[in-house]
Amino acid sequence: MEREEQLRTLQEVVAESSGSGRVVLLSGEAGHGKTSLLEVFLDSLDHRYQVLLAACEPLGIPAAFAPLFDLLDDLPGALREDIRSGAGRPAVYAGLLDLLKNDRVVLILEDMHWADEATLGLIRYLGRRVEATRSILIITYRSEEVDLTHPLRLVIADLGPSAVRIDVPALSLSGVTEMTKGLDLDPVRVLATTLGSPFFVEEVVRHPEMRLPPTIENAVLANAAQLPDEALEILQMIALSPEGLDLEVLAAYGPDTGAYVDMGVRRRLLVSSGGHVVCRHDLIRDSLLRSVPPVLGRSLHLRLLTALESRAAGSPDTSRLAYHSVGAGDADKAVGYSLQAARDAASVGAHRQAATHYSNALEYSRVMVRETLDEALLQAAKEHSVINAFARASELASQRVDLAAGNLERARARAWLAFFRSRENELTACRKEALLAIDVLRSEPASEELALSLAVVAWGELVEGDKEAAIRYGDEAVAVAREVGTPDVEVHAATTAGTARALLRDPAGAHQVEEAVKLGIDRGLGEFAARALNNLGLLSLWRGRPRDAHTSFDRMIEYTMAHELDAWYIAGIATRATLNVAMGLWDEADKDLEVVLGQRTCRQTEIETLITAATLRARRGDPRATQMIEEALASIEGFSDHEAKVTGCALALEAAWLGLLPIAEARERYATLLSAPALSTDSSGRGVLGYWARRLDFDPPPGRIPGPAGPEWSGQLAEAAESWEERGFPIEAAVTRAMLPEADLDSVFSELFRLGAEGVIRGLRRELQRRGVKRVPRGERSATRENPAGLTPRQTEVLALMTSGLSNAAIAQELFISEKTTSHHVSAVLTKLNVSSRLQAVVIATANGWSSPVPGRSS
Amino acid sequence: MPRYLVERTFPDGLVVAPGPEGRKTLMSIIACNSDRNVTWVHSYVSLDQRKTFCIYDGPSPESVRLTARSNGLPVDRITEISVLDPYAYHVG
Repeated sequence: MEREEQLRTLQEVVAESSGSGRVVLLSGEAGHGKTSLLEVFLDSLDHRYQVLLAACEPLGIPAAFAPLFDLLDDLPGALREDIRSGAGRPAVYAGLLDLLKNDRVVLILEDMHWADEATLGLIRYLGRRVEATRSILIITYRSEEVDLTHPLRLVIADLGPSAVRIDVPALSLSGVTEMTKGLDLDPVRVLATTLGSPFFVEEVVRHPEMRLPPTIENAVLANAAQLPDEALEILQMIALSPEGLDLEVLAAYGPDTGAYVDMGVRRRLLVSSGGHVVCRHDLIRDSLLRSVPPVLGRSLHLRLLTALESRAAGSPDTSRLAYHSVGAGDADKAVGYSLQAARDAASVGAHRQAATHYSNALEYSRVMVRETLDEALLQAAKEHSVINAFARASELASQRVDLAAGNLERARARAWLAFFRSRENELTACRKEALLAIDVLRSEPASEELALSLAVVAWGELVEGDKEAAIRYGDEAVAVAREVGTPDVEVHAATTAGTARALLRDPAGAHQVEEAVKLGIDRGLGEFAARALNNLGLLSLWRGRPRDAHTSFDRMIEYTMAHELDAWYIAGIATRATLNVAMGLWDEADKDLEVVLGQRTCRQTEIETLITAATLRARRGDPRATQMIEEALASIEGFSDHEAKVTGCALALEAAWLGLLPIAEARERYATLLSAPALSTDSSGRGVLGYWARRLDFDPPPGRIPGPAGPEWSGQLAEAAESWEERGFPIEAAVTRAMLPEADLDSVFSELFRLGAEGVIRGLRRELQRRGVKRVPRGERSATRENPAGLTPRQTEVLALMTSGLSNAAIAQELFISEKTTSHHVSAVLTKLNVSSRLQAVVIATANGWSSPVPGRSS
Repeated sequence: MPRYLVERTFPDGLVVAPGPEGRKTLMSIIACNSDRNVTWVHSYVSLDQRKTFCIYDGPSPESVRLTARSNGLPVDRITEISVLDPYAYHVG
């Protein structure tokens, strides 16, 4: 029924899969018939395909790799053992990939909106490799469950455009009319009530005597109400067990259970196969679940728990035991099983699930002894920190501080609290806790907690701009961490100290960060290695070298993706988006921003993303830029991070230049920042602000202005433009070039047009008019026709010289520029012409007649 | 949801194959749009088929750009618009 298009697409994917495998994302609301569509599809499938079907269940906290347990019988022995024994991700991932490579497999993972993290990682892993196989990976999910912050969202974004997307929509009126044919039902009313949900329409059609119940739940419960009370209770018990129940387990509840199950099957509420019975559809299960009264629910959970315990001899499913013991409200068991389930989940990297299990256990803290509670709080805090729930981590850690007996224990608890507060970017709070901890711990033998507190203070000093203090605390933390053998804290502190040194122009700094990266990667210190990589990239960025920074961030993104460090992965993507905006790679920036926006991130990343997105929208001249700029500026209010203040001020200045913000407001923000003491040691900040102050004729920031803005202030415009271009800032290069007395404005405007910088064109036109330039071109596409590759005048010159056969060294001499700069120009030319060699570039240039040297320059 | 006018330039002219092939192209564009909640309302095409003026509903200008990119369509300029028709102030 109205699913022909979707079925055909699936069949086309199969037809094409002999060449290369594909991922299919099959989405639709609950009850829209994703499973029915798959059933029809599988019936039509060629027998050469092995079909593997695994589904997720709505167990409050999914167990790691839960869906794969469905598959065990169909998998090769070694892989089966790996999954059963919890061998960890790499073995399972690789095993399944081998399976897809060796055979033609249709692997269906159903209801992935409920998937645990290990399974999500599997989708990501297989999804990126399936093209090299002849197999098909089909992922189904409920579209209404997967909002912007859902973890599956990031996985889908990663799969990119190569995934085939199929949406299973609601039925149309003609579909509903077809289904209600011959019944005394008004199709228009049926459509209005059911919103075209095929499941709902079927229920209505199957039981016309119910008339038209207002919701699916009413329809299901009206149907179930026809059963005797005892049967309903059995149904509710089955609903409480997401994976269904074995008939032999049910038989323990009375001689008539078999008959009750049959009634449920007859009313199409249950399906039974191979001695196992389960709700026919999740919507039925949901409706039944909501009908369970709380007290009955507890006793049903208790029955299920007892049944499960008596059978869980081999490898107990702790996640399920925890689920039923929490449901049954049995405090001791809930604590025991939840803690065990949390450790199990953490050991296979399912941190989100681990965190929830710990939280469940802590609900019953009244039955825990103090040591157990203290340990559970610390582990819970660590797990929450791994999944970016920093506020919750701090809250848990602060409970430990209250729980502590004596000064020393309290100081140790404070050290951890300080660390989590620092992850929250709560500068004042984290420093306060860390200093209190240091006071006590310094007089004790060296400890992990002392190293940690020192590292936190060092980090805080760095963020606030006191680099000397950051080095002092950082070095002490490194020394303590080495003494007690905690490489994670060592990497953290060395990264901070190295970064601070580099910012003070000490060449040892970058080297120290490099070493931290190496130690972090060697020791497998995930997020600490990620931070070191992150800072390495930032150092290039702060030196005004986006190209180098881009290379660093590509490396960091690859590392964090491979190690599933989502928070750092997103932070890396956010910074790469910023770099892409600066470098004029705006399509790339769009892609990065799409991944980041809507993700839960730390405040720093959130601010960075907003500023980047606002800058991009403003430079393009897209609608609603002002609104976004104001939102970005508002997000910085009350945030003490110096870097955020500088980028925010730069945004305000640029917005004023673009005519999107009152000049007076920009001037005020600028004046406030100039009085900040941190600016005197922040040369990169002075460089950025110096450029914008020049654009707006504001006073320059005090002290030396580094980077290309420096020469512009001293009147060396050509040198400034050259320097912008060589560093990889095409917008600033074009705008500065326009300020030259003999500027070729047509080419500047067509370059900006090629970049898609309509907003910048408007801003530049305003500045030129203000400076009294008479003829300001419109900057339409026309100028680019002569030069379709969109080369800048400098690049055209370089290409002309390449055509004459000159080497980089000779070109450098000819144009009075350095050889390094020349090689940047050459590679930019190759990129724009979309060729990989000099020779190809020369051929294209000659064929198009662009090879004549520019008049007035070389011979 | 805001409405946008999207201007596009096709240096070689915009060609949509007639018949089932063209239908398939348009359907795939619609499918791709729905990924990002973008709706193509309709378009005006210049007689030389080098410029199009397309009306879109979408959550943000970025969503319109990303969708254009997935569909392999160029974007020159995006302007937020609202409808004004001759009877906008007609009473009764």
